[in-house]
Amino acid sequence: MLRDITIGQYYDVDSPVHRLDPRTKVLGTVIFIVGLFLVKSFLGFAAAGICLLLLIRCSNIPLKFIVRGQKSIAMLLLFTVVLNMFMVKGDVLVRIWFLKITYQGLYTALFMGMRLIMLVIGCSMMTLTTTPLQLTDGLEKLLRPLKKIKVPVHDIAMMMSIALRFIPILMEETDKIMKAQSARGADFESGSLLRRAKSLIPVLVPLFISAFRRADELATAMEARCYRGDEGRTKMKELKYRTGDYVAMVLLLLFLLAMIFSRYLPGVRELAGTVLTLLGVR
Amino acid sequence: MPIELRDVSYVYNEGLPSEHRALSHINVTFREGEFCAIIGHTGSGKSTLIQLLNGLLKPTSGEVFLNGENIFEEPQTRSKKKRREARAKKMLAVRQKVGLVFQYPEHQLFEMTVAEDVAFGPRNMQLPQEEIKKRVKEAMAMVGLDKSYRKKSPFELSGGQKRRVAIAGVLAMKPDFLILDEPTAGLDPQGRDEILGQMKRLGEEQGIAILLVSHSMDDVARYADRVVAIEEGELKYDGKPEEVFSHADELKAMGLGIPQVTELAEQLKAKGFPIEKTVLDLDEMEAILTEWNQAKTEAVSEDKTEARG
Repeated sequence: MLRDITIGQYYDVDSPVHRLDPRTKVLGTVIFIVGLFLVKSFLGFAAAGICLLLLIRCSNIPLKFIVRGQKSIAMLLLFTVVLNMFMVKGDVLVRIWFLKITYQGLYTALFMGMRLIMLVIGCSMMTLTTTPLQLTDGLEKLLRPLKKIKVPVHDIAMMMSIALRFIPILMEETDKIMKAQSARGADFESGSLLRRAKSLIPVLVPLFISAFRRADELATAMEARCYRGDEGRTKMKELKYRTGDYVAMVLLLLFLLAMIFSRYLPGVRELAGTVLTLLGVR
Repeated sequence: MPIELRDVSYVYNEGLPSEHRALSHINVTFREGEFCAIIGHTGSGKSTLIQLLNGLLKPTSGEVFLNGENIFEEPQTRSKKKRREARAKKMLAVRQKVGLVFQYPEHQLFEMTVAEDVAFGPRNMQLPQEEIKKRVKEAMAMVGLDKSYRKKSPFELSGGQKRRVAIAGVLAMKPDFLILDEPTAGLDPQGRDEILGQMKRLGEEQGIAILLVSHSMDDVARYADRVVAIEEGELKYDGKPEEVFSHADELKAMGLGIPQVTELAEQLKAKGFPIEKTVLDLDEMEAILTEWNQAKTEAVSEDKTEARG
């Protein structure tokens, strides 16, 4: 059941996307997110969606696998869509008792839903194609300038990589504990909401205990191998931009420009019109 | 009340690149009251097998019968809600009858006191308060934990004691079958012998069938009356320990090996010792060696008499 969640997992195949420098992928994800928030029209979303599909294609990850991973955000998605549908004021389309679905509400709901799905898929594309180790390396390098203002960049990166690394482990652990408690007759699926929430205690307590135990063991293991922060620490694999990265950067820049353009397209047209009138051409 | 697997296969992540066939076409029956060991290399499908026995996993194909009843048979009612309730009730009954103790079961303890943790299973069965109390007392006695442990927090106990608490938690449901997945992993030799000895006694005194998953061939030879060996998801051997351990070379090729005493006997045999059968325990070996020693002394004294004469 919990194995279906793909957020934060690494999908181990070889592809041009997998081979990219992690810094490119982090930047790319940021640009993609910014792009998604710039988009104001369905046309823009369609363009972003096509870009995302192309990216998935290039990454050699089956689409089915990614779609299956979205099951976990289904509840969140439903919540967002429904809330938007009923809450936004405007021209009433349907009226059910005291609830009103407005044209604007429907529009916003669809918009939000699409944005959310693409946001999650976009972010999972980064973790699916980058090992946590590479990811931290990339982040650490990207954020290095912040060290000047005393931000503990290395420590943050290390914490992040540990957190990411532990997601699948804790999932597996949860699965195991749930099975063990089921074997003792625990029931997680039926009963009222309160009863179901209560039924999670026998899972959460052992899970937390095991998380603390693992953290303790990890700390000892790191100390045993002389870990003491980033001072004097060298790298086995230095990060280096390659041709593929430059190509990806150019594509990303084009994507960003297209998104900006799609947002300000009406404005640009208007501006051009005004300028032309002012110049007395029209 | 046997558990019967009929042509059972199990595939993980069907239809994905990570698809993995854990078991294929297994036919096996576990009978009541027996002490059966399940052996197999890591990743051979043992863990999958035991989870199929109490319905934690549903076979990809094939059926599991408990007492002649298919445990995944759909209840015959129209209403969806009733069907779900009936299914939940049936699963609870299956899990009560087939108790499963996972590896490192002490990691699943969660209550404030030992007694409450042991009571978790009976409470899920919705037994009356008095009955729960009685069962907690009995279950704790079965694993050799006295009264003084009842009010203690499970987290202040030693590893071996925690494991007993966890086993008691399953025993309190009064199962007919008790499945133990490597119950002695990480315990010291004394703790290991104590737990296995208690399990053996439970089988003999209460008639509970014990299914033991183990990597220690010595333990298997010492306690089990039946051995089931699995290799890459297929049933390889199923029989009495002396039968199964007579296939020394095949077992070694499976990455398993044979008990140390048996190994010793095999090596002596290879050197020309007159040992006929598969030796499984130390007493048997001792008897054989004493007999041989006597025969030798007699032969020597006979030689001497002859020389004198």
